[in-house]
Amino acid sequence: MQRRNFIRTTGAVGTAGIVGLAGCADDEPGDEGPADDGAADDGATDDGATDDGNGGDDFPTDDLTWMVPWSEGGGTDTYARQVAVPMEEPLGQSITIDNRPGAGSLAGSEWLSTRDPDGYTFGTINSAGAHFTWRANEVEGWHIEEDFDPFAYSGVFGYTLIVNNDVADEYGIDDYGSLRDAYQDGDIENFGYQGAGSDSHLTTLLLRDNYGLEYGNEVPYDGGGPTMEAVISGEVAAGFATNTSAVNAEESGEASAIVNLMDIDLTGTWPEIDRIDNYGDSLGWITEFTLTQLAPAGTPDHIKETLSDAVEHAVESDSVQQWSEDTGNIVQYGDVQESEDLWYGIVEQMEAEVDAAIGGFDEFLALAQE
Amino acid sequence: MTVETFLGAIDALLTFDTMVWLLAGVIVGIIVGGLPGLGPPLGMAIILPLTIPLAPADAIILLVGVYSGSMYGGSIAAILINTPGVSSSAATMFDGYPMSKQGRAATALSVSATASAFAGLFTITALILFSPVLIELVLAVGTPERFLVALLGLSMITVITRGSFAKGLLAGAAGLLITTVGSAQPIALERRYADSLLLFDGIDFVAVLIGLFAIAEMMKLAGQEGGIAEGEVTIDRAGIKEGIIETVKRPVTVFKSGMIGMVVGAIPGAGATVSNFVAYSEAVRASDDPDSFGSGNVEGVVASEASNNGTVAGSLVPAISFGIPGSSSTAVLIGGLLMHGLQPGPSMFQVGGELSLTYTMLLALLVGNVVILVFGLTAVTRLGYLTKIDTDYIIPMVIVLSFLGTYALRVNPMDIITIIVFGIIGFYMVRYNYSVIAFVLGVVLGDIAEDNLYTALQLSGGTYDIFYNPFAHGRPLSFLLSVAIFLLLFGPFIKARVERFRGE
Repeated sequence: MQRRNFIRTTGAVGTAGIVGLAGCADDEPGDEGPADDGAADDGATDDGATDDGNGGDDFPTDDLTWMVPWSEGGGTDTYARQVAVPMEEPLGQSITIDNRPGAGSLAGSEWLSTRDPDGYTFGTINSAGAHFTWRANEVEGWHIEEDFDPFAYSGVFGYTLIVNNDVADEYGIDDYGSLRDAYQDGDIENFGYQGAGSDSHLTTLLLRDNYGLEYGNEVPYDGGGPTMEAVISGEVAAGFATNTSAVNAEESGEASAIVNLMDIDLTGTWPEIDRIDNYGDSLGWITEFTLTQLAPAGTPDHIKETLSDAVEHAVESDSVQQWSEDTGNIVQYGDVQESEDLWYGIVEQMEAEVDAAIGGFDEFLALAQE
Repeated sequence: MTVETFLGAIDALLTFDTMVWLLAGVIVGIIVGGLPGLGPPLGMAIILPLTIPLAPADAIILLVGVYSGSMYGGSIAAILINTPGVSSSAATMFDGYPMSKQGRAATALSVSATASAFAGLFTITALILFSPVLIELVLAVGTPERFLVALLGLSMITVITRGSFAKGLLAGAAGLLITTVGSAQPIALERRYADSLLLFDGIDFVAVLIGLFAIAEMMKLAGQEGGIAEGEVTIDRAGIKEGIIETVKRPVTVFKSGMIGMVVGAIPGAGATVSNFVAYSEAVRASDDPDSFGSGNVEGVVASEASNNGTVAGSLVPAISFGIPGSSSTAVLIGGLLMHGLQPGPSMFQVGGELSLTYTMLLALLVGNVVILVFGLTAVTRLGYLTKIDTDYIIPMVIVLSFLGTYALRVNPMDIITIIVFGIIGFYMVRYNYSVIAFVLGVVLGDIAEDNLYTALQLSGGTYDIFYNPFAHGRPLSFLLSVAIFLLLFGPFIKARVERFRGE
């Protein structure tokens, strides 16, 4: 009974956990990641431009395309598919999900930035993960902030620290303080993160420099799935997992989530979980990801409002609320203003934070390539 | 009580609705798998949102039905048009397509259906009986072992190369070189031309496979009159019966290949394509007539098809016992479990947990393999007639399907260029006797080898003994794999020396 409750309250995390997981599995050579069905969707965009390209009041008059920059079955995709159906009712048009995975979400984001700003094509990009990926990869030709108009957000997820249960039992690790002590004492050595040069790598360095996590060996893995697997198997004592993946890790019986690295509250899922901001400043700017809905820059305000209202309607619908309750995915609506607040100025803030902590992005990237 | 749970699972499976979903899943899977480039992840992902109204058991059965059906379906295009329907059927082309050219497509398709079904049946049975052992295996295989499995696969180049050994090595090295394009995630190295995002994830190996085989073969066929089959095409009961008999006569190959598929499939990150090549190479190595492989040896089709269906059982272990998605297919499956309120974990194998559902799913896969056998032998073998159709019609169809299927996988224009470039490369590799198989092994295994080598060395602090010293890092499996690689590479020389010594 207790286990079932655990699943119902957290599981989601479940499906979104697959955000990290499916995203990571994409590169697995044995089975290339699933893809897209929306090649023909451009037609809707073009039609829309014709019908309502000037932002007429009758928007929308044609089908809409929702770009997801990750594969089908991943967490972001699952969110989108849950929300898309109830969104169709107020809009009076059908919505086609168009998965455009690749380059850590940059491929789909770049594609979205080049669409007509008519509201008929919009997408979900996760702030601030996408900001970091864009900045770390020194992308030129388009801007992660300037080329988009955010109009809503619909959910949030982010990083936790998980620890192998055998290790935790042996050294009495149940919070960040005891994890830090175990590394400092040399009881444990290896710490796993999700790829050199990634946001989790930067967080790893910040944990070492600002939060006293003196791991002996930082070990990069090819994404979230392999990192979680390494902790479960005991190859590394502790490592990163999104709150969604951490539920899987916990349910495996081989690992436990002990530290919430985000600002959002996870005690509904893990009543005893420790918070990193008990040991220093918030790390939410790099560890928390908001599922932000965006249209290409220049989309008329009334169209953004229409889309935002539809997202709100969908997020508050019985089906999405029930899904959230059943799976534990955190569903949360933010309006145009709130989503803009979480979208603009993030790159600048990140650069300032990285400057202060590491000395700048160049220094960070140099460290990543060592 | 496990027996009661098992009987309950049988009851749950034997309902009309559930059987219909299973049948639908397997047949949809066969169709999706049979289309060039498309594979189980895409088929399952398209089905996933449609499962929302279904009961959890029916939804999961539908998904695993698609998964299993796709694995078999991939062999259809491989045999008939030299195009890997799914990447894990690539090795089927090596002997399946030559059989088609000899007018024996129906026999090859019959072999494929029989080997797939038999391997599927016994590996699923083995999973039901020995899941605790496989769960331990998943935990025992870590980063160093994954590197060594990739190295073992690369070592197979020495076994499968025919003709010039130097050309084989050169082809393998060229394949490895292809995988160095793009980002190497654990290393943070960017290796792409002009910082193009199109190359961020590297060159897609499915596009490479389709170019090397499908496009190169269509270029070759363009100069050929008539159909793909060069001789008389026989689609009759005798051909189908021959396929069944030829498979049944090779129980060791079916068993060994199925087990390779299952074990390699249970290793997250290795996957069906790797097991496919390892099983095929092992069949070549163990054969008394290795030179006949590549020219229509039934054993090659048996090994390849038995391994990829065996992978299904193996890949379910990390997915449902730990929630670890070893591949994109199982990532979608985990998404399906979560979508229906089921949490992967040990409880999936516990009587008080979801064992009943797990048994139902595994039993459904057993029945699904029977569906594959019946459908494969009765309906799919009729597709052998495709090999009689004039190449003037076949070539444009295959080219269009190949481009569409590959583009749909990643929606990346670079894949279109990849198909064309590697189509030309494949055409000339065959013409000048460079081993395409060695090249493909390099392409398939390069990423796995590189990523895991780097991470393993990070774990060991830069020392290589993590790969061979069972005492230094407590990794006996690494040691055993290293011994296997050593024997594979040097066994024939040692054996020859020993025999010469004895002779003297």
